[in-house]
Amino acid sequence: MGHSRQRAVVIILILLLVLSWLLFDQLGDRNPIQDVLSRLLSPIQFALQRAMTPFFHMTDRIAEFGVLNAENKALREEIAVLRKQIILLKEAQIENETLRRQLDFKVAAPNYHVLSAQVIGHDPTNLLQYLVIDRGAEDGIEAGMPVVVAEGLVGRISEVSAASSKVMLISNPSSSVSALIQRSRATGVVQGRGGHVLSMRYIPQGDTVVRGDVVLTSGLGGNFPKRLVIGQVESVQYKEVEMFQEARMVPAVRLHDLEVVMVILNFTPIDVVDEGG
Amino acid sequence: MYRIPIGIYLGLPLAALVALLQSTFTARIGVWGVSVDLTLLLAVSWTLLRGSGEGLLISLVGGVILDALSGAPFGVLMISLTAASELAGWGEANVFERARFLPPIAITLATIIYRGLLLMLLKITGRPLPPWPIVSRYLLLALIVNGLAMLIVYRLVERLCRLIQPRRAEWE
Repeated sequence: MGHSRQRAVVIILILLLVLSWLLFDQLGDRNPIQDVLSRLLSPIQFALQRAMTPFFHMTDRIAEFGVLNAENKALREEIAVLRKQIILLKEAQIENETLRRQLDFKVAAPNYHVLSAQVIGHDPTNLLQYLVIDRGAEDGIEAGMPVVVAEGLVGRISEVSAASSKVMLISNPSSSVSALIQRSRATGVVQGRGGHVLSMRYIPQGDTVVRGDVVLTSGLGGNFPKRLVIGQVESVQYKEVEMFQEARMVPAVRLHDLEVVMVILNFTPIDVVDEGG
Repeated sequence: MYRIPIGIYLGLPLAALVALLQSTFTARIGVWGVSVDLTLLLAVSWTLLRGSGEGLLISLVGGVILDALSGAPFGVLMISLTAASELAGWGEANVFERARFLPPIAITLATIIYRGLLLMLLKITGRPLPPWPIVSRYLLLALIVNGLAMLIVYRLVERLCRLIQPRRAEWE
């Protein structure tokens, strides 16, 4: 009995609620029951919405996982290709700059017939200051030919094989180059010291030499062409009791970082001295 | 009966490769112009780990290639390298081989012999040498650079030797 009464009450309440809802709907613009419900429910909806958003994103991600994975793989591959292209472009840029400098040299010195060569090896002892280049007798290389880069003199060919040659650097203790100081025209001989420095010796006492002076090949002796840049004076050793002055120099060329050099083919040295002597 | 140990078939091309690497790569990377003597390190490590017989062959092959790539008279580097390697073999034969201090001592002595002999032979063959301050700095830096590099190279060669045939006993 009790249950039947409760059920009847609930049904009546529902009916009253529905009727009043319909009545309020008919009476005005706003339904007060709906307003009350809205006020009660909207904060809960908002909270639920916020709480569930990551879940929805996650489900989206799960749904897209396969696609994303493939996309990720494709992007990684694309990055690898682009990285490789960047490296190749950087190399091409460096090579381009080197070749442009060589071209500048060729334009500035049109009388020289030069041949480009790649540096393929360095002296393994660190003591003898040699380079190995990828051009040899087959390319017309001969012992004694001067080797240069756009910045200045590198050395000369000391040994020639069929497909490669050895270049004795100007920093080699066996190397000596007749030189002159551009500003004062003082002459001397530039000799290697085995390290990264050079010495200009036999400068007459009366000539002035100062730090920063540019030293060029003089062409005397016929071993090297005239007016190639050798380096700059770093310090001068002057002693009144001695007949000559001596200058310490830095080469114009970074001799240990060379990658490409040029061999002057149309210069025949007059006096090719064996570097052992 | 004499047997050629299999390790040497790996060691000889490795020596050639290392000598090439020394000329093309490590010779450009140096401390004040002095770079690591990679072939010497390989020869000394191989001698210490696998005996002077194999070490000598390694230094011979490495030396020939270095000679071909350097501006020194042919044979100078080969002689210097084999002499240095032999010295390491003498050390190995006379000192307990597992001694931890052996590799640094061996490379120090080998560097002195190798670079010293190289300078002497260049002088004998009439090559002008750099002034003494540069030569002494060159020797000192070579000792430091080789000593430090030996810590890595010896470990690598040791691992490689574990992979190949066990060392042939000297009395076989």
